[in-house]
Amino acid sequence: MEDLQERNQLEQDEFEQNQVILTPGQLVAKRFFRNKLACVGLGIIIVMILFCAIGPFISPYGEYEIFYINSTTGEEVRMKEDSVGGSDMGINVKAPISSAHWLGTDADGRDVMTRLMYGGRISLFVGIIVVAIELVIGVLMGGIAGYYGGAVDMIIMRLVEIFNSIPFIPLMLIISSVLFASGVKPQHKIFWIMGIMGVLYWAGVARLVRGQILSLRELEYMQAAEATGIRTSKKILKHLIPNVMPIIILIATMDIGGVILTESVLSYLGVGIAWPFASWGNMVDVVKQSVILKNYINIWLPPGICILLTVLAWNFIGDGMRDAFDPRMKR
Amino acid sequence: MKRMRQALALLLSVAMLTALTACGGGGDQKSNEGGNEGDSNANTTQEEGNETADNEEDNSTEKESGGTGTYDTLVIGVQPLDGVFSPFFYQSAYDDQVNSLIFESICELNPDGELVDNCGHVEVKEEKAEDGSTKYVYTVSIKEGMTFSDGEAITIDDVLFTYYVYADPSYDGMSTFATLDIDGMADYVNSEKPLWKAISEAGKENTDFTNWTEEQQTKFWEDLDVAGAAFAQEIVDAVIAGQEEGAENPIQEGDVKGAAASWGFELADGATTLDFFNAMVEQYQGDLATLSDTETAGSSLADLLGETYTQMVALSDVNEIRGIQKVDDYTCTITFNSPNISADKQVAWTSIMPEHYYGAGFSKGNLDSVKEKNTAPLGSGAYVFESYDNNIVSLTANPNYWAGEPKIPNIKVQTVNEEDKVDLVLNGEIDVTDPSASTEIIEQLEAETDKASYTLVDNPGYGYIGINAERVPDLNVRKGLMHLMNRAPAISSYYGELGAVIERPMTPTLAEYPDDATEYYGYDPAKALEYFKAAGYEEKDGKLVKDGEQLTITVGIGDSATHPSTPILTQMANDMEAMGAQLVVNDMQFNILNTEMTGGNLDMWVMAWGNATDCDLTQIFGSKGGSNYQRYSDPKIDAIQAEILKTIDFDERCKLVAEELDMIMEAAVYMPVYQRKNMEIYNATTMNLDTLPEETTTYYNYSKEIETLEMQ
Amino acid sequence: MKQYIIKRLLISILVLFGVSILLYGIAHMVPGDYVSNISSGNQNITPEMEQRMREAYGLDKGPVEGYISWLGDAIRGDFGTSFVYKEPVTSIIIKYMPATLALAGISMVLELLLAIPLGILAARRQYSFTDYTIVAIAIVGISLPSFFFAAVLKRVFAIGLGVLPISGMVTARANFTGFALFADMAKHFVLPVTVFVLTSMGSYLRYVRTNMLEVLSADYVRTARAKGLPERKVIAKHAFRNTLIPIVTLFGSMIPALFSGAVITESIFALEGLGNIALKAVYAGDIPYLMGFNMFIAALTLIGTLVSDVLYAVVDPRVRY
Repeated sequence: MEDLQERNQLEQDEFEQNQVILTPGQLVAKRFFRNKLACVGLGIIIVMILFCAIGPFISPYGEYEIFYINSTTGEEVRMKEDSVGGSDMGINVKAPISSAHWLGTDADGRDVMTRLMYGGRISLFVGIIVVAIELVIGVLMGGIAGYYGGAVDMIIMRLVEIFNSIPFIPLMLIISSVLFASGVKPQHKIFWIMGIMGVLYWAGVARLVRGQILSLRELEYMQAAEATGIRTSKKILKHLIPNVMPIIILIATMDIGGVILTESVLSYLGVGIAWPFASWGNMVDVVKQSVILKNYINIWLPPGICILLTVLAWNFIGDGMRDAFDPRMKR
Repeated sequence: MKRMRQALALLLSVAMLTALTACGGGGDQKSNEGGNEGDSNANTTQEEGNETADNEEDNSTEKESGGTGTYDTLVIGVQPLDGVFSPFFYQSAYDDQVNSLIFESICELNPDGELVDNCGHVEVKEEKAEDGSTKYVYTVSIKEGMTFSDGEAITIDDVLFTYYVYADPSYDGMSTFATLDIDGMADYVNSEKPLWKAISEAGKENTDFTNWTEEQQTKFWEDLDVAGAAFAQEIVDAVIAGQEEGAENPIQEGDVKGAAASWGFELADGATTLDFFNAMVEQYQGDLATLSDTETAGSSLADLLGETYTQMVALSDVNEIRGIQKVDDYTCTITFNSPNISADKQVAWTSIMPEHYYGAGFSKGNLDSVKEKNTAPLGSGAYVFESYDNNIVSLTANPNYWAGEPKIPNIKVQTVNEEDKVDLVLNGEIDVTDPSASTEIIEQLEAETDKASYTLVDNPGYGYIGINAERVPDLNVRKGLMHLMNRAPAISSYYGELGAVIERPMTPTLAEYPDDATEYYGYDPAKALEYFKAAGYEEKDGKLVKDGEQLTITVGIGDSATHPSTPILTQMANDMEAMGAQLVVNDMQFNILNTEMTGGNLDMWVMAWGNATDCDLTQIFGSKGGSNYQRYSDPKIDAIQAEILKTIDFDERCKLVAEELDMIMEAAVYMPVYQRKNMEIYNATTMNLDTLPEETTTYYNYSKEIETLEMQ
Repeated sequence: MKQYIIKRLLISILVLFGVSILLYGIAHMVPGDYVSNISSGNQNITPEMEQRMREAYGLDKGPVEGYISWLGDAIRGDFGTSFVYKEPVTSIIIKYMPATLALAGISMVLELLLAIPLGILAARRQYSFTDYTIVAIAIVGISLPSFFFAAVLKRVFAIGLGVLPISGMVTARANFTGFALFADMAKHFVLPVTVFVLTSMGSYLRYVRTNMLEVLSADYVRTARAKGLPERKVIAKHAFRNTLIPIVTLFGSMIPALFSGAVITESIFALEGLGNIALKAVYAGDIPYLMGFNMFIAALTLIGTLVSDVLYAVVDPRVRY
């Protein structure tokens, strides 16, 4: 008898020792990586980051270097050389794919591949920053509004409405001229714009979050939390918001793509990426010219595909994260 | 779930089917959407003629009366319209395209841009007046027996009515007729003014109280002091508020002298806001209007004076312009006090507007009844306006047209997108349109000559780069900058043979343009560096500095992604960087670029001028010119410009113009870059191309012979 | 509930007032005023003429006085005359509303009809091939700019195959009336509506799917299935209602979008709708139109929010105000 008990005890001890105890974080990570699509998404993003970070060091060309071509000899001449003033010099615009230019040159005579790499830096970066800002503000405001209700809710939602009523394009034009008047260097315009976009977009996030919370706060576990007398901030932050997490993740991943697209409109308004720098948005912009659409696929298709892949990847990652965080997932 | 999906699929397919079957039966889709004609001329409006509903499935192409062939409608593609179809008030050149079909002008331009008779005639005679001065009398006559499209006869009274609308004191359209030096014009235009303007211009010593009482006048000057002080106070407040924190000598509250100094006015110590205001009045020589406009820090003087002073007051009962006289039912004379090379165009190249229609309810100072008819035009042109719906203007042939009823029964003017113009013609949806020319488009058209044909004309404008002479005052620096502009490769790559580099800042399509002008500032970075050094810049630590500051130039460009001057700026930035200087390029939206340029906040800018019909450059290069954004004034240029305006002899004028342009180039404030070609394309499958005009030039196209144009 | 609605309406009026001040400030701060914009390319305009035009357009008044006079007129329903079109602002909006409304309305209906069922389907078949395809299509839709799709679709269908018109609202050459006109316009709307639906459907679909995934793993759904209810009923009667909250939120913001139009799509297909006109007004500095139109949209936004909030209470009985 004692033998048996001892043996059982030993088994149990062994069992406990051999059990792999995972922290919650590790649990999430494990579930995330089990999701094949999420891994693919993560892989794509990493490849993009590497492409944009390291690529420029490999490319021999500058981001906005224009290439001249000698119309008589057909020989290409780079911008820094002296002979560019010659009378038979033309600019090598819309050059086809060649070994010198892997994706040809664009309508201003700049190497497309190099610009793709530099452009990615901006496009990848912009999305993340803006979404981070809008989420922080939006979730907080939406959470407070949804939780407290009443007057607080009224004020915050009215604020949201005011923000939503501001017409986008006139505002951007004003900001563009204000930035110019305050002497902001063109390269720095984009940082200001990121901040402003984040500040403008919190309104949409807040409304969605608040909507969810309105229905969640009446659930039993919230009543329980109330009964136990937990601090309000803890109630909001640790109980309500994590249950809104799926929506938040969704907003985040979709807005990252949306911001990249908005950026292409912004450059048209003069507030986006300053000339002559590249971004995927302003590279895809040229598709509006039917001449380029028809005859020069190498100029617009690569940035389009890059944007597509990036947005897809973020969406897969978002899905994976949502599944990973969800405590009710059976798998 | 399954049912929902099925319902959905059904719904979608029904929607698609409806859309596709509305094509109207089989009919080959390739080259003519025109297989769907409804009736011809009789029922062209959308409201009438429900008979046409039956014809929707009809593939037949037989026409009834009207057109001689299968097509009875000419479809013209234009850029978006504002819908202001009145030669008085239109702002957009595209609206004017429609206007030119509805209204007829007395004289027109021939392919060479010269004024020739159309349905009338103009000639000029010099006459000596009683006081010994020379007057220039223009006689304008119109053909007899013409009628408007509604049957009313056209007489010279209609022409006179047209002039009076342009000259009206409350006219706010684009025509500059009211600024012409016609005898009595100024009196008429100034016969009504806002009260404050009238009193202030009369002066403090005024004793003529026909239009206001003495009390009003005295009160005005008192009120003006108050308003003026408030005006000046606003400026002081703005200056103080706008100061940077921690500036070296901050201007204190109440320090009017300090604030005024930073605004550009020198005052004595202890000056008050009223003194400030009076100093401004002195500088502007009493011209309160311009003062208010230019120096305002928020409110205008009119605001501060209040409503009682902004009412219009009739200063005189001048109800006629002395210099415009009716001779008989078909002739009138217009007397100018000074020579004007474009006078004949101003008086005769205008549409004849029907007084019986637009003049109903018209009185001096009140143009509301005329404006009401902006969307319902009536004229004596080749076509009659029917409607403007769904972005399409519908016109029908005018049977009363003086040159004979037009052969094509209907015209539709449709809004199209610039990018689609070529495809729309090749597809058969549009018959005539004017895309921007590019080598790819020409290649595309050359490959489809059975579907479309095209002509190239010179654009009556040019592109340039301007420099603000107040911000870059050193001539050597400006010359250096000019030597860094590498124009030729950029323009030839961007336009190919469809654009050319030009050497003088004037539209090359004008007859007076010096075609033999040579390059003034070639691309030469070495020379540029020489000029910078001559200006006092030295190379220190790899930077080009003078008095401790690096040479930095800001330049503004709009829509840089599609602008031909972009490579010029790229190269310039590169070269300047290599020298140790800096070029800061601001890519801006067009409106902002415009604002900054006019506000004098840019060192350099890239812009273009549009339509020019004469060689008068006073507004751009004259010292008082309204468009002199380069802020450069030279009395010698003013003198030669005045001379040019008086020189009627063509060869003499050419010589003077060449001289003037050389002087402007020497000042290094404008670098002319390019002039491009415009293109008109025609649908070869629907139009009878033989009936197009022989010569299509900048000033003359198919719309001038619209009545003889035929479809197939 | 009624009290709540009334309270909201009253507060909305206050908000509108505040918004009007904000909008007026913005309209005035937009660089470039109307007179300088139209005289910019004209070489012959003199300074005196510009001054006269400024007076005529009321642009020589300062912003405060301008706002007060605008407010006075607006309360009486007179939103002024547009600088660009020279017609009363209200009549311009009414004139171009039908086209925009038709386009946006049809698109909205199609979007919802497509997004909701497909989103539910994708959620039910999570991780299957169906799910991946649907999600991929949705994402392609929202990750590329609308002008991209417009250009490509035009290329393929209008120019390449020639089955649909390239642009415009009706075939200019013909003179359709009645049903033929309707059919012609429908044909011209196919491409723009497709572009619209493609670019917006994706986000709704994703919201539906996400929420549905949440709901489908809930206990009450398991209970319903265990009870033996057909799957269809489980979804329709139990699961679906709980996914509606985000959709209702988005629906509320769709209302102003119905009228503000899609600027880019409208300009690519040469449809004169409110979006295109508003853009032109911004660039031209047409202050009366901008004010009138933006106030209209602001009012719709407020109504949209109210509708959403009311619908929350309808859809989810737990919601209390």
